[in-house]
Amino acid sequence: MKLKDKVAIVTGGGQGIGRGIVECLAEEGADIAILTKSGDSGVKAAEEIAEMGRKALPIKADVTDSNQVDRAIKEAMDTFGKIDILVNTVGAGSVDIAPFIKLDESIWDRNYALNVKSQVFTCKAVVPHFIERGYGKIVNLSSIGGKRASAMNAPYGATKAGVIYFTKALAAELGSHHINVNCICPGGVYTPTFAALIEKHMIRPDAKAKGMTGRDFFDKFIVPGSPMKREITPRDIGRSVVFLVSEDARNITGQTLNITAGAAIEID
Amino acid sequence: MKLEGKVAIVTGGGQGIGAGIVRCLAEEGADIAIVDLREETAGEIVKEVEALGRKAIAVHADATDSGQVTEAVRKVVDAFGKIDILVNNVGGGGARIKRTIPKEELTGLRCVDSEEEAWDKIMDLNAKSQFLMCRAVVPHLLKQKDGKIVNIGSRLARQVDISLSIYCTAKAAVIQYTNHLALELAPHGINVNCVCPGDVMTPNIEAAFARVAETNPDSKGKTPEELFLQVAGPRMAFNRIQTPEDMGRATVFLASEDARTITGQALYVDGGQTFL
Repeated sequence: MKLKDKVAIVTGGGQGIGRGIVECLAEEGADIAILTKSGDSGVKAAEEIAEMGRKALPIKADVTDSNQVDRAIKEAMDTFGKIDILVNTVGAGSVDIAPFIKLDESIWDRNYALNVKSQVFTCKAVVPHFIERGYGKIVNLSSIGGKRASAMNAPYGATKAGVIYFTKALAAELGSHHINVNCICPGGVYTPTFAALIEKHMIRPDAKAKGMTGRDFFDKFIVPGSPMKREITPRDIGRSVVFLVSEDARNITGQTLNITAGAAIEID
Repeated sequence: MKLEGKVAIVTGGGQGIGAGIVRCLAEEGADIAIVDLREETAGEIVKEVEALGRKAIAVHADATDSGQVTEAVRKVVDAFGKIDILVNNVGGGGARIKRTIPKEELTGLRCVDSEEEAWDKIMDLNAKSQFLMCRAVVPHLLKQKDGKIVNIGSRLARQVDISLSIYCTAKAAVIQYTNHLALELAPHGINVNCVCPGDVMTPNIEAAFARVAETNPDSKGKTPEELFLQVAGPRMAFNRIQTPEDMGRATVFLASEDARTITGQALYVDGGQTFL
């Protein structure tokens, strides 16, 4: 096991990609604090992690609120005594699809808060501890949407691009403290958020898709549409997170790893 | 173990970064074929792999010669019955090219004053070798509808070093060849990726620094590690030695099922040299 005795914090670890990451970290031996907004999905995830023989602590916190983040990190520190790994999974979801001129300020604020500020707050709370120990691993979730431009999706893309820059800036600053900071850019992964997007923006406007579930549409059109014709699962993202936070990647920092089953290959 | 039952070819696996890659693949359970020009060093790495309980062979071949490549791949298939992983590691800067351009024709511009022979040799070693190996190996991967190719690039694929213009150009070609091959092989279940090393402390580099410490008064008494960090450290986020095994572990990741939906990517293992 690559992460025995390590303590990880995973934001948004109750469902979707975050849940896959939690599973993979726990399989490699890490104990985990799972931060979720609702609290319920975190409790359920923590129960399953505990069954694997790891310690798991669900913490209810809205990571767009710095006070709640500080309190959550303190609770994790009080419980585990240290933090080794921070995985920032919370994001806005690519759901605010609309023409630029129809986007009001609140949509920009929502994307900025969920995609960027949430990561800034958790890093600000955890990094002093990492610096003190001269050790730490941070993985920020961005999206291939933060690299490849698409119409009607500016707030999501611009703020996910912000995550990539934030990752590099932090990596540059924290290298001298032996802290690795990297970023993952997934393509389309079937999660509750993506399912809602598929239903709203792909099934409803398409007469041919009438009656299909989000899962049906994903399997029939999205997976075969990728060059590898292979589903990108939350566990695929989780396995890459394990690699990046393990000593196998000790000399990798400031990088963004695309996990897209071959989509957007030409984009660095 | 992530690669049990897999067969991997590593070109230039007898020394340096290639030997580190071989060790890491073998530690994860792969059997290894080293395609290399230097039989003696390749033979030593074969023994190391066998000591780990894996099978290994050394095949003597020049990866820039299509006839020798075809023959080498045939030998590997004869020995192991299949190929799962190809690591194209052969490369280099083409040192010791004889100068033939008359002095009066030199412009003083290093990108222009290169010998044609140097251009051909460096392109062949770094880029053509990967094309020839892929051409010979891909039909075997297609039969299995499965396979992993890892091409070794360099941080210099996207950084500028005027004194190494041909090498940088060849390594940039590696990245584009990786992208194109990845897209074409994606529907066949084959992943193609690239590992781009930063400065690596190989045994040859270590020996070179040891010589510098002996001959250069400014470096007297310094260890190869100290000299490495003096040269490479300011370029890195981490002031840390990089080893061939760092490249090996990244190669294992990309060649394993952990990276099953990663293709067409260049992973920079460089201690933060390229993004700063």
